[in-house]
Amino acid sequence: MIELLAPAGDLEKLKVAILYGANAVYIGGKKFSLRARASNFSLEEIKEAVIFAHHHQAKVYITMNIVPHNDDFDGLEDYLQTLDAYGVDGIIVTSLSIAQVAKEITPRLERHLSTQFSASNSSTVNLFKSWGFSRVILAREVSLQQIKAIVEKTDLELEVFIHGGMCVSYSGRCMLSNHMTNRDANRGGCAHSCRWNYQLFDHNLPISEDQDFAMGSTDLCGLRAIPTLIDMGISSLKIEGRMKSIHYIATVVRSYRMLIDEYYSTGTIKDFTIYEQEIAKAENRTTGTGFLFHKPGIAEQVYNNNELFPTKEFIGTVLEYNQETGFVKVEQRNFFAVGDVLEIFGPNKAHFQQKVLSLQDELGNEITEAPHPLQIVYFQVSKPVESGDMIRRLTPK
Amino acid sequence: MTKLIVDLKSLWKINNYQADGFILNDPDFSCFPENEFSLEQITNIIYQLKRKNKLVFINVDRIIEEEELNILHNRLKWYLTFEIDYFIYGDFAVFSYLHELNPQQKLIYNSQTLITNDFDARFYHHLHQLVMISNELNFDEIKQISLVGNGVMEVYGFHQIFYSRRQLLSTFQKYKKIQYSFSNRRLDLQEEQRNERYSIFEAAKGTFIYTPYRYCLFKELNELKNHLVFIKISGAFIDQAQLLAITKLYKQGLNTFFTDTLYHDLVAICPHVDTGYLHKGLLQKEENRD
Repeated sequence: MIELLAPAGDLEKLKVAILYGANAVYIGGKKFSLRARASNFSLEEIKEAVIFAHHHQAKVYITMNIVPHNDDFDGLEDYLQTLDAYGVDGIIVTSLSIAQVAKEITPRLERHLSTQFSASNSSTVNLFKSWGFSRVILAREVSLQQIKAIVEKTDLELEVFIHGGMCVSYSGRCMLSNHMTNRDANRGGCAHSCRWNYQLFDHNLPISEDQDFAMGSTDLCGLRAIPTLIDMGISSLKIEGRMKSIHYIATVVRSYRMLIDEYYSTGTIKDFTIYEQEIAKAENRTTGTGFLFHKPGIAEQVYNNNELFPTKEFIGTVLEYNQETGFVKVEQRNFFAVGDVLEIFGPNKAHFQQKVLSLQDELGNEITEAPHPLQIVYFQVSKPVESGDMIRRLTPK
Repeated sequence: MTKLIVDLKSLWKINNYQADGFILNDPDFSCFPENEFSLEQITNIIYQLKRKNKLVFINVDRIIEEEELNILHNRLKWYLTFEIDYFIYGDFAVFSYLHELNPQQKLIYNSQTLITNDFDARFYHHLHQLVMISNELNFDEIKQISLVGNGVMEVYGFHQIFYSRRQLLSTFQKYKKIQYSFSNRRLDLQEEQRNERYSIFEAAKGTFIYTPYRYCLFKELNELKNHLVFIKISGAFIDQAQLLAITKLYKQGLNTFFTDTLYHDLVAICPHVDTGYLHKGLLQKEENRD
């Protein structure tokens, strides 16, 4: 069975990712990890994460994918030994010296070569196999045809990005953020300078009057490539987005889980649009297929940064359900009110719509709206739900 | 003793160049924006350089795609029929194949951005390879890495800071329905809130962006020159006459001392130079956009 690998920026997201169908998660510790803005895990949280994941037969990989400067190496050996002792399954590395230290002192830990290395061919993959790496994460620039050709020439585990944000450059090969903001992109400080507006000049003459040149890429949505990737024998399908919300993670992971399961059980996908429509409820950026099916063209570039479209708003999480009364206890994440039509979904059920006919606060008082983040409220639902199910709004706020 | 190498862009006044070695950018497998030479010309140039006892560097630093492996292999095999001193590479397919053909072949790993500490430099040292040290480092970091003894540093020129597989200019041209082609031309890029202009160049295999200034490490070389194996002058977007004069000044610095006078002469050639991160640090964590 192919691995569905999901991102998790904190413990709550990790639990959501696993409960909604991920076979493995990748998380960052406080050190050695890109994505400085993701909250990242303390060692205690990593320990808890591993216990939770292993209890649910899922794996945990730790991102150690910064391009380190000398100061960043402090405490490396202790950190690796702690990860090993906690039962972490593997690490994702860019620095070959970090990989070498890991090989020597924590040989049990799987070593995955980060996409920062831009592995794009079978020669590179097989070289890293000979150096004892367990897996290579391919560059996001490889096409399905190229992936197939690589798979045929190696027996090393390969991981492929299937969903989420795309660097417009080869990963690790962009210093725009460094030069424009002094923030080190390869140590977690990327300012996404590629998404800003630029003006192009030809011999000091502007090519167009507006600052309308942009380099940003649409996000990747590889749903339609999944059957091919499964048939090829790819080991792992990776979703990007450690900084995304729990609603996003639940929606995206669940959609890919259901699609993969449908393909394994029936040998085909009846209707991709069902999954695409579902994922669109959590996306606020336009998506494309990256390099998977063809070279990126206009449709894979974002030329108007205002083209973000609203997602279905995340309303809250189900905490409890009373089977006798049909009342559900909800932790609010965004404003909602009596009369709103909501959609409820969970890891193991089809989503359904629910109109809010009345609302009660924690003390049982009737209220007309739930305006406070993390407010506990109750309302009645027409179908059974479970703790961990999620609620989003269908009607405009 | 540190040696000086430079991109070879034409044979014009080649006898006057005071470089110890020349980089020949492969027409198909290098990221260099101005590929001037055909393979036939490269053959002749290698013979000429060898007759003059110059070191020959072949630059094949592009990221290699699966279907290119056979062509790459044939190209590398062809190069090995000559006396090539060093190959500069950015994709491990090059290392893998050259190592298989000739384990003694000298190599320089150049990913532009990944050699940022002496631990990684040591890893390549164990493989008997040199490394191109990242330019986005401060002086102490560069010095620390140079002490490993396998460092090469690009010390002058427009430095490549962005490498994309996408054809960003052609795609924009189509989007805007502009008639003339942007491909293989140097354009400039300016962010809406900033004044600097970055050169951008699109070739068949991708788009590249360069620093808005000529990176220039000069007087600091007095402390580094005994540790670095090679210093490199990039020829990207610099004309031959200037390149010749700049090379001469660096060679004088290597032979004697990188003095204020020489630096004054260097800046007179082009005042728009900058030391990049040499005397400042980078923020590791994300702050506000500006």
